[in-house]
Amino acid sequence: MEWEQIESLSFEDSYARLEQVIQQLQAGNLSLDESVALYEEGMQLARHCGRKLDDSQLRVTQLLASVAETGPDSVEEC
Amino acid sequence: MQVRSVTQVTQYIKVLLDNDDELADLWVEGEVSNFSRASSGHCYFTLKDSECELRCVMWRTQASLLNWMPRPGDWVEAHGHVSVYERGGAYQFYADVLERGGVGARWREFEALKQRLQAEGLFEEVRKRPLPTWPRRIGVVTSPSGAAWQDILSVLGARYPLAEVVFSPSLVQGDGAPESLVQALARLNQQDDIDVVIIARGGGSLEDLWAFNDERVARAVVASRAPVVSGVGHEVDFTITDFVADLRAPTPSAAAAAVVPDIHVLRTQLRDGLQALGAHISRRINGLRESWERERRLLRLHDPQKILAEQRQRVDDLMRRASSAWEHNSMLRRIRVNGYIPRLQALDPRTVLARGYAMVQDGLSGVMITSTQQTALGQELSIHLHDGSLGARVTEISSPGSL
Repeated sequence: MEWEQIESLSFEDSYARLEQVIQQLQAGNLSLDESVALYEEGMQLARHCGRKLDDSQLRVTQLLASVAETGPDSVEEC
Repeated sequence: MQVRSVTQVTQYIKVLLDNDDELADLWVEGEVSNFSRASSGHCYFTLKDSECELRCVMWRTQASLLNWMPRPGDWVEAHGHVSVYERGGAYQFYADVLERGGVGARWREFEALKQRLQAEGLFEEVRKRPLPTWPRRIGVVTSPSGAAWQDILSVLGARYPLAEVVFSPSLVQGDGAPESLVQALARLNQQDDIDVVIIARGGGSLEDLWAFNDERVARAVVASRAPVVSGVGHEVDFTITDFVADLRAPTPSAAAAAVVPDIHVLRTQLRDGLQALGAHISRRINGLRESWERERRLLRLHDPQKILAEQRQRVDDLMRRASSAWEHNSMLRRIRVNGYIPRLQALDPRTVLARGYAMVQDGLSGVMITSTQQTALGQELSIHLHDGSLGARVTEISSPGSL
């Protein structure tokens, strides 16, 4: 997976891919090039996950109590 | 025996009752009958259960605070004290608070509803949905002013700040609470991508939690598209909402913790993952290096360069041996040639000529004349001496005997 692709992954997808990469490495049956490529991808995924965790901040959206008052699409950030 | 007046007896009883601590401040529950509100504003009614009746009064000031009108058959809880109405010669209950649906009635309602929903299979484990591993949008239904909301926010923020909280505020106690909870759940249901819902309220008396025993709320929880986790803060008692929820947590904080992974665990897992990656690749590379070295050793044994070098060496060897043999040979030859020289020199005709002999050639053809038979009178001859030659002509030929 390319670096740019990894950067655009969500934490969940990145984490899932990392688990997959580790499993593939554990399974063996890979050429050295494939192993090294997986290793590098795994490192990037792990770093990406770590950054996602570091940078994340809980977002809160509040649904307005009365839909009739404000229209169906209105949500407010707080 | 002294005879007492009615008033004396009545007042005696009144003093007895008024001085009783138990009767001075108590809650009583029962079914309302004969409720009437006088033009004065005072309310008169009777509370009864299957065995007894209790006459009750509620004065205008307290009655005016009631936001509902009790009807015969309602099960109520009343707070007040017991005293004596002297003029009527009756003890009665002076109510100052009147609440609808006392615990007893509610408990019966609760049991009935629980049995009904259970019979419908709504409490069955097979109906319960699994929670998502990685929730992105977490719906929260609770009161915006309650401690539960703050608890949920702080737990979610600390454990899994990657999520988005979609807050659907609701009343959680009072008459409007059940409908408000239903609406709040419905608003979340209109959202497309809510992964999980927390319905919660902080601790409180069983009374305070009663909205969570409402059938409408229970059915709204069942109807939720996303799995619902209840966190109704009462460790001991289960509400109907707890029974129908996909997961029941004992408190709002516990509900929040149940719906998300823990960032600290994730960080540990990431670290472990990195370590596993490193260990795998270095094991792989080390393994390859070992086999490479093994192969290299094998290869070196069959290295064509090396074979070539060996062969070259053998050729050099042969060459060296060949050339030394050659030299030996030629030396021998030289030695042999040198031995011939004195003998050859001894044969050199000039040495003979120097001793006084002459060599004769035909003057024209250069043929060596070694016999008189080769000559004729008048024949030109060339006579070689050791220091030159002479031209001559044959003038006489004699045979050997004549010399």
